[in-house]
Amino acid sequence: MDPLNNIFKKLSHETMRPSDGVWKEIYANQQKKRKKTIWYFGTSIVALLLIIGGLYTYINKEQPQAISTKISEPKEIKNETNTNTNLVVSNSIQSNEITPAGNIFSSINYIPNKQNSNTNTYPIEVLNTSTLEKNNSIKNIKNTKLENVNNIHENNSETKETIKEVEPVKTEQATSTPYDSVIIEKPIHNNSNKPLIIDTRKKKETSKRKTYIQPSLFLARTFRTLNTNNDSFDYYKKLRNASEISGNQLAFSLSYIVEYSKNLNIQYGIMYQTQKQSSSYTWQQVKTIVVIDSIRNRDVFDSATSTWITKTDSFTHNDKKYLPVIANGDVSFSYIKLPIIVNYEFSKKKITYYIGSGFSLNILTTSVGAIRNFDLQNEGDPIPVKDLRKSILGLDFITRFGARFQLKERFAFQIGLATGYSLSNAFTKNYPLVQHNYWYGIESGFRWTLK
Amino acid sequence: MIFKRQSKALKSLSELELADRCKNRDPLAQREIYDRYASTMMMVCYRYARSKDEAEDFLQDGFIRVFDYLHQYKCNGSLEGWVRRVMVTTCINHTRTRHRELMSEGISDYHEQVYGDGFEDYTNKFEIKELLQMVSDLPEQYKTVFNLFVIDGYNHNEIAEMLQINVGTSKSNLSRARAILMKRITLKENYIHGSTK
Repeated sequence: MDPLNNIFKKLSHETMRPSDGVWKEIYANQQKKRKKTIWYFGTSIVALLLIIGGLYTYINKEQPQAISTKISEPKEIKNETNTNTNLVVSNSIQSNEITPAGNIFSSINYIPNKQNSNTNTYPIEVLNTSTLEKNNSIKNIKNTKLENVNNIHENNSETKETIKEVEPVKTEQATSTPYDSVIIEKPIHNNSNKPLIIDTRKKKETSKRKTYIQPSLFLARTFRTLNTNNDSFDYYKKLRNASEISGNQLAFSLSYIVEYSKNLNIQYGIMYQTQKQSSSYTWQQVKTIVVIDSIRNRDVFDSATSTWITKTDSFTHNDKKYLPVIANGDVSFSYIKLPIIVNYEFSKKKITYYIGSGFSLNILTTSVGAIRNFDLQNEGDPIPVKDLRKSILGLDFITRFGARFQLKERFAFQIGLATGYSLSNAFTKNYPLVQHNYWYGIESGFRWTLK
Repeated sequence: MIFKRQSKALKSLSELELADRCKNRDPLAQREIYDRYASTMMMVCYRYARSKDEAEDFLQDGFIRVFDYLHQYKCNGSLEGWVRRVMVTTCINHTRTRHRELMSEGISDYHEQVYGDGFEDYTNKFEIKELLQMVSDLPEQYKTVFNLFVIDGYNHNEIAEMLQINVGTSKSNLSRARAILMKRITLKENYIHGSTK
């Protein structure tokens, strides 16, 4: 080595103490980043909750809400000081029918014994629990359309509907009660001599969402990302590298789809998937291979290593000599997958286009491999490899798009492309390599409308 | 008390374990890494910087990068080596802009240095401080290449890539740096010999 270089090389081992302020600055910077991360995380959660809340509200708004009618027996009318015969005071309302303040038209009463003989109509009272001043409330009511009343009594079309407005009446009972009243006339046929109370409060009915069932076939090409830690010699000395080359997968899925709005649906599914890939393994120490299970196979393997494998490419690591052995074969996996996908759809004539994304929980049911040759020399019978060190559980992110053709009223054919990326490592936690599956393929299936 | 106990426990951790903890942004582990390597890295930074203040700026920036990118450390080599590489890259990034325009000499200036007998014995007597000062006094562009090649062990291809110059320029800068250093060493030798006569 150059003598001048030798002299100055000494500088590489020298040290110099920095001032204390340096660490303080570094620490402050790291703290700032930590806070930022927490802030981003918190904001993301809040945003997610808002989106979910918004979606929930939106979906609920889309549901048809029926108006229920309730007929009950009111208490006896006590209206001694009332001078207006059409007025029914609030005492006739049962306490459990009181709606929250601010609601208008909480209930409708009609008074059977006040039938107008000329028009064959009954006066109807609309009761309100508004906390506004009585007179103002009445004015509000008078100016409000009484659509619900019409709907309720749409069967009685014999007599034309009339709405009679009355002036507010000042009574002691009326001023002491939170209810406001207005009298309208409405044709109602009633056999009993008791007043009806019709509760027009909106009540949610059990949802009547459209649901579908969809069997599909899925054919895809599966790949694995490159090892991101394939030189982690210190962690795992036996199996240096494992690469599984792309392979084909075939899957059958059955999905249950719930439509939440015209454009939005959620697809819940169960999928059985099987795939086969070529594999290549490189071991460092051939005598300590743990993946070969049976004694016979181990013997075969040992003989293979002693006779066939060239030892010219051995290498040294940490003063120890290692012999890499490349074993080629193939591996097969099967999974049960549970996808949940949110789809957005829009229709043009008879074709519906969809785009969706979601997640899939994957459960590895079988993983088997077979080594067919060592260093490209055929060994004879394939040696089964059992412990492939694959994670049992995985999570995929899926995106898909395609088109659906409505063939009959309740029957459609669907075809599209889908792609997925595994968010979790394909290998088990104690294995040093990190690989992720990704795939793309074509899916097609049929969809039946259930209701 | 707890902090002290934890710090003591951290000191016994291996580089790998420490790196693992640091990847989770554990402040104590970060402090431990800083304590272990700050002095060595300060010297690295000082060799590239123009002053101690600037070296501390490089050091601070370098450690921030170390903590931010520690997840990329694959445990292939020593942690110290990795930290050193990050530091050197940080220093180069800082200094690149200020001497890019100066690094334009061609390969034609390159020539091999010839040394007289007993040169190494003589230069071994130099103190570190003096050597450091000699390197520090080099022109910016020569200093960087000399540091990278001689002290930090990068080859000309790597240097060319790092500094975004061609290999010839890197060799030429190194040659000139050596010539200057030789001249200074000879002058000093003459001065010492002259004063002792």
